[in-house]
Amino acid sequence: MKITSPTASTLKKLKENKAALFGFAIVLFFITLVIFADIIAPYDPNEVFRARQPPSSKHWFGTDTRGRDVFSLVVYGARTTFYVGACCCLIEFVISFIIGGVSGYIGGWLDEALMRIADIFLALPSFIMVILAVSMFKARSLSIIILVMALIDWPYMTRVIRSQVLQMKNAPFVEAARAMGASTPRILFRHILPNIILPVIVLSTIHFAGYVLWEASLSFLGLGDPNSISYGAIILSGKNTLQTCPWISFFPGIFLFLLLLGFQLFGDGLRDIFEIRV
Amino acid sequence: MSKLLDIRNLRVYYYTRYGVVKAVDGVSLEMEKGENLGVAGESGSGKSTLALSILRLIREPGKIVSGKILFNGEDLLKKSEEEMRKIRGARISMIFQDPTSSLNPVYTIGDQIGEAISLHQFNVEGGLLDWFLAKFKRSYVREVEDKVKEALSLVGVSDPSKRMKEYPHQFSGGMRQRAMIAMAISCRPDLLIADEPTTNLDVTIQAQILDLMNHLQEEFDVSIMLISHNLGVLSEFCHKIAIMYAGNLLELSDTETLFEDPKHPYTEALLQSIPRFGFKGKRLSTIPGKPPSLINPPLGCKFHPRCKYRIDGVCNKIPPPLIELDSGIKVACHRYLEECQ
Amino acid sequence: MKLRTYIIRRIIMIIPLFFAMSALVFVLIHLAPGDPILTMFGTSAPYNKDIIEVMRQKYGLDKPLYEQYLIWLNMLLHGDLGYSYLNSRPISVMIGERIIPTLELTGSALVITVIVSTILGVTAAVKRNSIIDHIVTSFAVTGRGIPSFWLALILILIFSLYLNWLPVCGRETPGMTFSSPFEYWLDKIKHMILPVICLSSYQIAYLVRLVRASMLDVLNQDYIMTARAKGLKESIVIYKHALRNAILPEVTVIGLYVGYLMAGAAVIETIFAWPGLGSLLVTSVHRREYLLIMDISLIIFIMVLVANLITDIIYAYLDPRIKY
Repeated sequence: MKITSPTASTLKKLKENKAALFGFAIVLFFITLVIFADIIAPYDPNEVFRARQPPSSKHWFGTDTRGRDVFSLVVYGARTTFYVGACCCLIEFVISFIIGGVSGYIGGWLDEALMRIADIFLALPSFIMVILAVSMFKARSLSIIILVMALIDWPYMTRVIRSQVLQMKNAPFVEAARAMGASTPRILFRHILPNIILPVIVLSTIHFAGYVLWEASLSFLGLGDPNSISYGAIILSGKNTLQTCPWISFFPGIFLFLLLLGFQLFGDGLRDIFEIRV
Repeated sequence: MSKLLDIRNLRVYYYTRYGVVKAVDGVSLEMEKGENLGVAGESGSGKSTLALSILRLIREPGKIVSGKILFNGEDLLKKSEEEMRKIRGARISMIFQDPTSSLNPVYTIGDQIGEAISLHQFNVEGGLLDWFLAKFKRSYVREVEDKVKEALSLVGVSDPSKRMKEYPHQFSGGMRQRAMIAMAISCRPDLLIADEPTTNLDVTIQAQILDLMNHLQEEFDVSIMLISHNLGVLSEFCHKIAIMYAGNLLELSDTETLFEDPKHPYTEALLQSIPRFGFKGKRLSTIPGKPPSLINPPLGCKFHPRCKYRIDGVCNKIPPPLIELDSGIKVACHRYLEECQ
Repeated sequence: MKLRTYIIRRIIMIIPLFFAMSALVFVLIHLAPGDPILTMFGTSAPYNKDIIEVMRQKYGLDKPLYEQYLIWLNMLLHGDLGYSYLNSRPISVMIGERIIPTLELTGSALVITVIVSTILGVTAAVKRNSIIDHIVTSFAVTGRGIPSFWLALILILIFSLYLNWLPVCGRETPGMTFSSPFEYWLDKIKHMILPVICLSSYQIAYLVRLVRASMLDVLNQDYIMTARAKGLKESIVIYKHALRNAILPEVTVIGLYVGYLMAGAAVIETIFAWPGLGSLLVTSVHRREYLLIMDISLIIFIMVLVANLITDIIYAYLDPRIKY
């Protein structure tokens, strides 16, 4: 019987899962856009041309109501989107790891209290909470939006991390570390963290898509950062000229759709491959 | 007098993406009325598939490829699905291994037993319209309830009118199996197939259930096909025992002779491997090797790679036919061919 | 425990939840630095200093935050939702007239989602690996990625602007008189079709997969084999025995879905100019009317909570393992 290495069998499973592959390809495509935006985009996104031009050889996706090239907007928009998604996922992870790790490991009334608070957040529509939180800011910047979204979304990943910590709390290798006198932070970082990385990555991919959608929805409602290039904002700008210039709303939307789909498929695929129960 | 059950050369294959799994590969068996037949074998020997085939409950990717299953002279494989439905639960019943998962958790015990009774004795199909009409036809509902209570008390469930309103999770393991049996015999079938009914139960409950089945058999003249990998259980209960291996029938013999004078090498090895009291210090004997693949079974006799009596050139080339010895015992082994001849 | 005890327990739990929610709403609004009154009036035309003073007095804006919270809570418990100076109307009236339109949209979306996803999910599971299954599954997978607001624009483009089959926005055709109730309802439905589709598309995609997986799981269970061995018709086995078990996870998810529905309503109502709570929330956010924002949010949250309660009760009713 052939013995295959874990890497090889994982790669094999990845190849068999067509949806995951497709998702992965889309993610790679967008990462390319993000990194090589300057090369791929033909024009500066803020450069102004004749407004409301339909797609042509000069402007592949046409121009918007202000005269900006929609294709360049879409390409640079990917950067904003990724920036938002990545920052949110990172902040979310840090918060969740600290709260979830401490709560799960130490337990007791702190754990109870934190989980009760988490339950309240979980029962309510988080997007509405996000709208609430950004509503009173006079000037909205991307950083504020990122912080707000990550802060409101903490219960989901926190719960997952906490349950993993609970499972591992009494595992032999953790007991051994404790017996050797390891302090709590050390245990958390050196022993527990590496073991939860995989489910965290899977969850993060799916959350990434969620954050992207939130940011786009906020921008679409006019509640985003007016200085950034956001798919939602571009789609909004095309709303009033929907019949005459459908390309303004159409193309950013397709890209947004692809991005969301790609990350979701990829996340699902990862979950299937690594057989993680989340 | 026709036999109760006469299976002739049954082949049931599963068509999977790994290949064709020959779960039952040419099995012929008979059962007389009033007789208890035990079907023994390891996991994967084909016993459950055999049982399911009798009721024609084999589903994709499985298929009954060829053979005949004669029940009271009628070939079940030629019947329409509608005709089979009339037989299932009414003339042939089946109970399964795990009573916990075999009962629907969202319906009461009374509902589930009553369903079988309504279907077969009152011709109520159980659809939405019937459910609705049942609210009005109080008399038939009460009759069904009475029969359910009767069935439950027959299997030894105390306080049936209270318990029939309870849900499966409120019953203990042994009680659940009793409820399953109640459901199976509620319509007084001619044949009851029990697929490992005691495997998931404690030993004491096991004895109770076997006693119950014995008692029911005497009272209602049901013939029972008991499937188990536990030869001990079969020895107490069955008149005849069939030994199955990798989809083939290896030996069919009456119980006493099987234990005193097993014919097939596999049976011999099985009996030897049962640990016995008083033989301290001896190693447990096992059967060397492992069960064969059902997709690519060994050529010839499927047991030959593990058989200490194998004859090279014969056992690994030619599949042994099922021979009937003078004593009425059937065995599929080349060693007895000469005896026959 | 009996069903009644369970229900009473759950209802009582709402009370502390209400207080916790109101605190949460309050905190979220006051995350932003600065004086909420000034923020609010800062975006609109210069206002009478007296009005600002009156508001400061009434809502205690010069007092510490927790006192402000208590003042607001006190108002709420007396049924006083405050007054919107920017709209010159009492807030309770404004909210009152918008609850029903929102319920129309979200309620219809909920019903349609449940029906469609159950039917599609069951069909896909029963006819596994057939063409129907592949179509439904692909649809379910892609549907999760479509942003509802973009879908709305595309559908408006096709069905309202190009084909002219459906109205672009609004809840009723303005100024029209109806000669029969049938016409009235037809008009109403025509206005509801697109928003409801957009609201439910994401969740139908998600639920179909769930129902299908749940159904496949259930169909593999032993009790299904028992049901068949009893001689029941296949359709009875599927709809009576399997489905009842398969929808349990769906019911749980629907509880969570209601929250999403409200969030989606904010966006969809805005696009379709539907006179509901969601669009009011968005406009009040634009105008930074913090009292209105807080009140609407609280009402929305209460609705979600009640919906969750109802879902939990339905689940307890359906799954006897909880009751007993």
